Amino acid sequence: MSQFMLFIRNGDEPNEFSPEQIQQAIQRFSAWAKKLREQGKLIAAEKLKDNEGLLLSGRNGQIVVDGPFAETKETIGGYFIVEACSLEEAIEITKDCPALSHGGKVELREVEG
Amino acid sequence: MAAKWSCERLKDNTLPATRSPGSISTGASGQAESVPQLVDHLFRHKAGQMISALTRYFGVENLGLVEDIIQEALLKALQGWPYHGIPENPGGWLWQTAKHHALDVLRREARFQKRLQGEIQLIEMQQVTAGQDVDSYPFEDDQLSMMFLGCHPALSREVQIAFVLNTVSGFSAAEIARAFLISEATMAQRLVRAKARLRAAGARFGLPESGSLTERLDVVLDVLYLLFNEGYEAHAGERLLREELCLEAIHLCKLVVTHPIGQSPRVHALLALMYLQAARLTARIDAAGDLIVLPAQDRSLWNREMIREGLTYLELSAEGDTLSEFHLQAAIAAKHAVAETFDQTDWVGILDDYAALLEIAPSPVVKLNHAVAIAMIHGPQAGLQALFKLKDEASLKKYHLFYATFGELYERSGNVQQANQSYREALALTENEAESRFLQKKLRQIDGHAR
Repeated sequence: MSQFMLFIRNGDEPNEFSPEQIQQAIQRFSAWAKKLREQGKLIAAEKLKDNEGLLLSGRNGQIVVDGPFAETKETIGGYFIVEACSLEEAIEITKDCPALSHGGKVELREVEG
Repeated sequence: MAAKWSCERLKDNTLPATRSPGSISTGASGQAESVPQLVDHLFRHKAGQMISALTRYFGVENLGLVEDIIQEALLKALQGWPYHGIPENPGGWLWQTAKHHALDVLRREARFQKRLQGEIQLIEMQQVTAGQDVDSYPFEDDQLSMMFLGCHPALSREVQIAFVLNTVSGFSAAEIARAFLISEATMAQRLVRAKARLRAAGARFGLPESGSLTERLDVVLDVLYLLFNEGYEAHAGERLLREELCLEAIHLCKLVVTHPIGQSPRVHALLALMYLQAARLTARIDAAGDLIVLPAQDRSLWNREMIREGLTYLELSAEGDTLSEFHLQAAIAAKHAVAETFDQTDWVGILDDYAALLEIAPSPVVKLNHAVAIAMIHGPQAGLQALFKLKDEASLKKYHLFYATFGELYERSGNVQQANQSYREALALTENEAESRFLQKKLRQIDGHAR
């Protein structure tokens, strides 16, 4: 068993969603998460705070702080950690992630360990 | 006595079986999980409540801003709930979040613009919402006020319907456009213009004064009646969406009837009519989407609960001495709904009701139905004679059901050739696919007999 991280990057599309569509999107998400939880594959799920976060870098011995990032498109909204037997299975799980059906992107990374 | 239903009860019993994937219990372990689920259409109904409530504080002129605040609150749920799960009290969570956004906006306005109005609104809203249990906010008053706003005389009937669906029911412009078969852009435009028109007319948010109440309430009932028919008559469009319009009309009518100012015989009669008609919705169309006429409907599919509700409200509508169009239509619908078989239908009673309806609302369609009732009692020839008298009614000349009725009565009287011609005329006029298929089937059947 390996662990994989799914970074959810929010898209732009939901701004146009109707209340009904927003509810459906949430229900798709909870169905997806519920299935993973029942299979014992969902290890963690956390939301990150909106519009916060800094980028720190070292330049010529000095620490430079960038941010916060105002751009919401493409920022990471949260992450899931799932357990899967193989990268292929992790890809299948990610393909079903509802974020993909409303303009979002998911970055899939395997945890080395 | 009328059972005071909560909207939740209405939803549970009457919505078509379109359960969301989230609410299907798929416990692989067979265990029911204690994760809160969302009631069907919660977001839509909640949006309507919250838009109405916030408009009280922001005013009609800031309706656009209110809609933005609500949208932000709903999207916040989409951004958080996938990770945290659905909260214990989803509706309360949404209202709490929307209120916070609203207070932020009002605070900003009060601070930067130093507008007295902004400060007053801020104080009022803080008072009303401070320390309040999230579920105890009285949305009903505000939703009814919003309904009256939408049914303002400055707007045309069409726009009134769309506006109420948008603000009180929480449908998006795109969804309303789909139900009414116009483009999304046109509908969005219409709603924007409606808001401008209400602003220009100086429309105020609130319940009408007692002097104009009856008159304003009649407009609301008219709009709800048209909304229901839009869904029921199924000229065209998506079936599920149309059923939803019917159920939404019932939902809105319940909002009116549960409010002290809305309890009048006419409202009761309208609600009775809606329930009794909606009870037959599912039996009207078969799995292939084809129309099933009343004699051929499987009556076990009729929604008994709705029929019971309809009869209860019909009884309530008899209090007082009002006899409206709604009363008679509901009485007719009731006679159909309680007949155990088509042959047991009380056609004599129905003919009486149509005769009374002709007295107070002699529309061409009522005349047409009157002729059908005559045929049911006195035979197809008598029915045809009654129909002939309507030949000069301008609005019937383009009404496919007028010709379909001719076809039906000719067919029953054995005049195959005339029946064929009438069905063809009906077919040329109908825009609804299910009805077209029905008429084509009829034509094939006649041809089979002729050979």
